[in-house]
Amino acid sequence: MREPPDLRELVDEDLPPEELERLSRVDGLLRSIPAPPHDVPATLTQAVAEVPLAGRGPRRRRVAVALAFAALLIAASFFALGHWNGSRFVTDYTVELAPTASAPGSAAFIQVGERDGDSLNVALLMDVSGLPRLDPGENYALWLEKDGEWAATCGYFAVGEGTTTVHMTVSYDFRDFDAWVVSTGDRQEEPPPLLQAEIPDF
Amino acid sequence: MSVAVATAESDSRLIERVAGGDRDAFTELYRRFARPVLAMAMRQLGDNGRAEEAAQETFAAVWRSARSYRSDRGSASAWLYAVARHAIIDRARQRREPVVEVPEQASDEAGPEERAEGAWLAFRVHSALEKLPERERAVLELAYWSGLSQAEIASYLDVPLGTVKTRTRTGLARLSGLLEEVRP
Repeated sequence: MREPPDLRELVDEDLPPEELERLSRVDGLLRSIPAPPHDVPATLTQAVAEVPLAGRGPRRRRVAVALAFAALLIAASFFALGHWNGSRFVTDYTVELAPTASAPGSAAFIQVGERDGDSLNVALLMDVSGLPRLDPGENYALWLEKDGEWAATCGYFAVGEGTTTVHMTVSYDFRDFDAWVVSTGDRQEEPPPLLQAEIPDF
Repeated sequence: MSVAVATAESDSRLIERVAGGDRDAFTELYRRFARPVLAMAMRQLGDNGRAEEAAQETFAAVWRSARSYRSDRGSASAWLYAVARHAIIDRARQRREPVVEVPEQASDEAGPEERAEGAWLAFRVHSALEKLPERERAVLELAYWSGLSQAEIASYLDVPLGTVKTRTRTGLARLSGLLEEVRP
């Protein structure tokens, strides 16, 4: 396929240098990326159009339904297995962290496990991607925010290529905090949040 | 030349309306982001059918979790990108296959970070293209990705060559405004 013509040929005008520079930047962007699909399949549009028809109840009701469903699953597991395997991870709910402007393209999902009835510990399983590797000795941290402050640390971690899965165990009552936050790990320097999510209502 | 960007409702506001159950806002959000999401899924999954499934799951997740979006904690585009990326990774995992990150440029040197940055760049530019008037978007896409000359584009669209060049210039100027913070 032929390359697109030079910018000056495309716009065919003696533009002021600053305008040419501005258009040249966009011209460079367009040349650096692949083409978008020509169109969107009608089957996708139809399928997505049906998404809202599935309904979406109030948040608390949804959480309650999710919790009830999780409880049902656990009960079914007890029934099927006849015993509780203490090493098994059972997800209570999942939290999706949104990237801030400091880490566009990053993503993290935390599976919050069932609270252990005896120790009151909660296992966390976090899948994180899109964060750059740090220098040796430096770490990222998952922490809990309260009134805009780093209030409690869940754990420190490093990342590899692709998606990194991090296991942590804490004993906090998450209702005491406002948000989950991922940042670089030096608390004293008040690092900017890279990924964040509100603590859901219970 | 300065070209004003149409004062369409912001992506952030649309997501907030989706959070409130507004189906029209959901439809508009789909119109704006369907092609960027599908483009990313097709590049990373390398299969049109699975890409379509990932795109469908992306918008289902948007509908389900729009309430988790906070405009003060990042752009709407970044939030949608993250949702799409997760849906694509999930789709790849279902087949127990690694995500095929097709490099944005013909280079064997691009590492995972460069590929991730390339995907994010393409997503933003594709999203910005969707905000252009149709006549400008069509001309730019034909100029940059069809291999057609401008004379051929004029013939294809049945408009004068001068109109093609004017639309190209206006579209580029408008894109420049939409992509002010994006660096190649």
